[in-house]
Amino acid sequence: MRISNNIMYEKFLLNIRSNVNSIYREQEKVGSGKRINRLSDDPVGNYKAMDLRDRIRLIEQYQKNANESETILTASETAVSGAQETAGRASDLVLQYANGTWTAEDRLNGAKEIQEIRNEIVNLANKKVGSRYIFGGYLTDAPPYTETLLIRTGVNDQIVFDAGSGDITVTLQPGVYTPEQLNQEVKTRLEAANGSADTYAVSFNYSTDKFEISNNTGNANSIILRWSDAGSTAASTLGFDAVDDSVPAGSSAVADNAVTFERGFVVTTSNNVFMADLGDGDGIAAVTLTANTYTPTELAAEIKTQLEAEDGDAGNTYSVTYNSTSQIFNITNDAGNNAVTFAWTNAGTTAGSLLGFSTDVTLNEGETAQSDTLVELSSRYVYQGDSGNIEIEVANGVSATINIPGDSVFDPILTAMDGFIASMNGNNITGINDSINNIRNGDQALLDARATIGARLNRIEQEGIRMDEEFVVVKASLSNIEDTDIVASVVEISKREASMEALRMTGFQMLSKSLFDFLR
Amino acid sequence: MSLSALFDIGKSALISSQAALSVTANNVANVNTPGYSRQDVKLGSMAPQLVGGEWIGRGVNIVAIERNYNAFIDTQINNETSSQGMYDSKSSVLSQVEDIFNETQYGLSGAMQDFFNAWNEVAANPEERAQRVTLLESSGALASRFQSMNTRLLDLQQNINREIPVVVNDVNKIIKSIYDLNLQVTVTGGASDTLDQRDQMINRLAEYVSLNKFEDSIGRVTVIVEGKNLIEPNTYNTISAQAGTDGMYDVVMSDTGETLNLQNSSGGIIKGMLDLRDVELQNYRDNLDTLAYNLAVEVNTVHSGGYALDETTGRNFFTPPTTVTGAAGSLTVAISDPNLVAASSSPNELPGNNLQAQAISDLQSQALVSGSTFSDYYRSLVSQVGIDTASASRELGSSQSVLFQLKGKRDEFAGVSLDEEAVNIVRFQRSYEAAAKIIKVTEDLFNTIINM
Repeated sequence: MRISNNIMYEKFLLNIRSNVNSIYREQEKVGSGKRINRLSDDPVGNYKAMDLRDRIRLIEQYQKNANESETILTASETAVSGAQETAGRASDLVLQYANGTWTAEDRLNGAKEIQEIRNEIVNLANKKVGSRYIFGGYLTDAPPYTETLLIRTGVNDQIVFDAGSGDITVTLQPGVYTPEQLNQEVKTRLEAANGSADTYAVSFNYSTDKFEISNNTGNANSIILRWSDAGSTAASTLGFDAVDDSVPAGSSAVADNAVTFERGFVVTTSNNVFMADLGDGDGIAAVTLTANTYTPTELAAEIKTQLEAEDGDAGNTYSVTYNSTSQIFNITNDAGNNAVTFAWTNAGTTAGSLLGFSTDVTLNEGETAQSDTLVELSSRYVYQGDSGNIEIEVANGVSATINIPGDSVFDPILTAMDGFIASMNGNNITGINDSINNIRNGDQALLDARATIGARLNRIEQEGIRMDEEFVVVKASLSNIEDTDIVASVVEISKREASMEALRMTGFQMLSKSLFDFLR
Repeated sequence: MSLSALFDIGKSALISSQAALSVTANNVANVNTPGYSRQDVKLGSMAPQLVGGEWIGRGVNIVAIERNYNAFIDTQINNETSSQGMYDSKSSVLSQVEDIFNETQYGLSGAMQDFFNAWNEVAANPEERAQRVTLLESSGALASRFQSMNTRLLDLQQNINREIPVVVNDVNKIIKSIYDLNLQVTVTGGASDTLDQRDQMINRLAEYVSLNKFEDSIGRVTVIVEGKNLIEPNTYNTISAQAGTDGMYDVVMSDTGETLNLQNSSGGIIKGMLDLRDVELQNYRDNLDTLAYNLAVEVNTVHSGGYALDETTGRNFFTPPTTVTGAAGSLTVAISDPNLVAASSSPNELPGNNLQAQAISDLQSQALVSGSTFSDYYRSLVSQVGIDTASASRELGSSQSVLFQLKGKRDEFAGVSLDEEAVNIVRFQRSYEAAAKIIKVTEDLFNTIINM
């Protein structure tokens, strides 16, 4: 084969270039620490590396989720175990007060301590992690246990306001409301009545117990809340003084006072009738209470009013009272009346359990009948959450439940405590004895909840360990794929450098000489 | 035979030695000239003379000065130059594309994972505003990454397109020079240096388009590209870049306006550019569009079934793309208020119900684009870019090395070796000296006769 000078130079250059190129590539690998510096370095390896990097990001998210879940579940566990401790104190007390040596006054004082215990449990049930109420099911933005407000027809059910075209009176639906529910009711009524597309927001601040009514930004009209108008009967219930509040769009009116929570009775058309022979000659006839929401005193007055109306004899009067400490009604057939019979077992009677009567009773003049069972007011603390189980992913396709709805946990113990307090107030030994069992059942519910929470925590921990292990494995595989094998690169570089040296030397000798050197 | 005939023999020897030395000198002078073919002097003895019944030679003459040229290797070199041109243009653009898709740091893949992680985060904290804000931010980042990748690919496409008229202009200049050199071949009757120059020009043309050529009896060349004669012995045809309605240039014959289907040819820079513009880059953009379209549609479907914190529903998360084409370039987040993120599946279970956020986060593991998950689909696209780039640069490397081998083969005939030329110099110097000696001896012979 014939070799020309040109091809010799070219070949030499090519060899130099390819060596320099290799050294550059290896140097790049060492410098960046990565074997793959551009897609074309290793398309298949890069495909795998991308997959692994995605996996790592996902596992990191799972780990974050697991931490989050652990925080919430641990907080739940602490709250429930706090409640257990508190319930333990209550069960000591219930045994103590079941002893017959205590006086009514002792028990009345004891009731105050038990009330404190009950409030502690409520506080634990309303525990927050961050801005999340952990025992509310899905409804994490409001305390799961709240007290109630009463809206009664003809008493405190009206708001007068002016939305730009004169005063309008709106009427709230009677009922027992939690603050959240009342927010919604007021908002709905105001918006339905304002005659425009304007919207309002009503909120309740749980730390100050105050309502706030906002006229939303972008509304066409200012509103004036006419609290000074005698028609605004709901003013004091909502905590507003009798001073008008003018609220332009985008601003709001905060109530002047904290609200007063109340318990009461809800009388509807399905629990408002009892049958009685009032000695007025028409035998057993129906006495019908007006459907409404009542405070205990109001209901006592309503019973008296309806009895006297049914009796029809102006001389025949009754007195009805409610004893809030013993939770019973007393109905007295005042002096000078005919004998009367209350037919509580009559099929027509629907108000029996509302008023606490279950056996027929006949009263001669001057006699008094007492409720024979405790009257259930609307519960002081009503569970406002739902039964939602919040699940988040803590591993591939593995969802962990991170909460436990509070009703199953706290309802039994809170109901038991309410009963205990009532029995203590009423010095009702039978009731206190019943409470021993009820509190034990409440305690059992707390224990069950702890077990559930423990199992959920355990599961998350297990998954967490699994994820940690996978994380290590995936990291190692990624490193295998994309990290530089420094030793191999360094060896390669020195090999290339040695061959460069040899190339330079032979190249110099070969290319610098020609036959012309010897032509003289 | 006369004595003066001896002078003539000496003279012919002197002249041919001198000519041979000139050719050698020319070879030495052109040792580094690209495309130069080594020239040889072909010497022949002159017709003999009958003297006393015997034929006696009358000296030497120059039969031809020839270039060492192998037409077969030349054709191969032209073909390989075409492939090199094609892969060179592909490889240089694809290495920029590769940069766009570079996932070794943080790319679309990372942005997509962040997007789904942000949904997961919202699912873990559906009542928190911070997580929703983060979600909107990572969604915006994802959308703008889609947009910027699309824009960069589109820019590359348009840059290539704008370059086509420039390249076409270069090609026309080369066509004109080949035509001019063809004319010179006619005039000089096929001088080696003219032929070398013309072949060199044809080789340059081969870099742009793959071509066929043949020579007529007097060495004039005809060059054919994709069935069209660009150069004929007595004429030539130029090409033009003609913009279509979409602004994309086609290459057409200047005279007839017929399309020159360079995309069907086997090589050349222009073929590489057309392929990049219409096949590779378009394919990457189509894939990005498909991904963006499906992502937007799937996320919207789930999101519009969910409830925002204000209990409203039916909202799209991304502005719904109207067509697949252009989806990547127009991907935008439709929601700006974090409270409007619909994380919940029920208006009555706000804010703790996280089922809708979870469902969107779960989309990442479902096969929703052409039978793959979003990230798998994108990974395949990235791999495709990597494979295309790697194969273009590998093809370029191999065609460079084949070209090198071929040039070596050509140089076996055509290359100048200084050592050989040195030998020739000595050889022709000696023959020149010997011829001069013959003339001196002849002169002596004349003197002898004159002085007799």
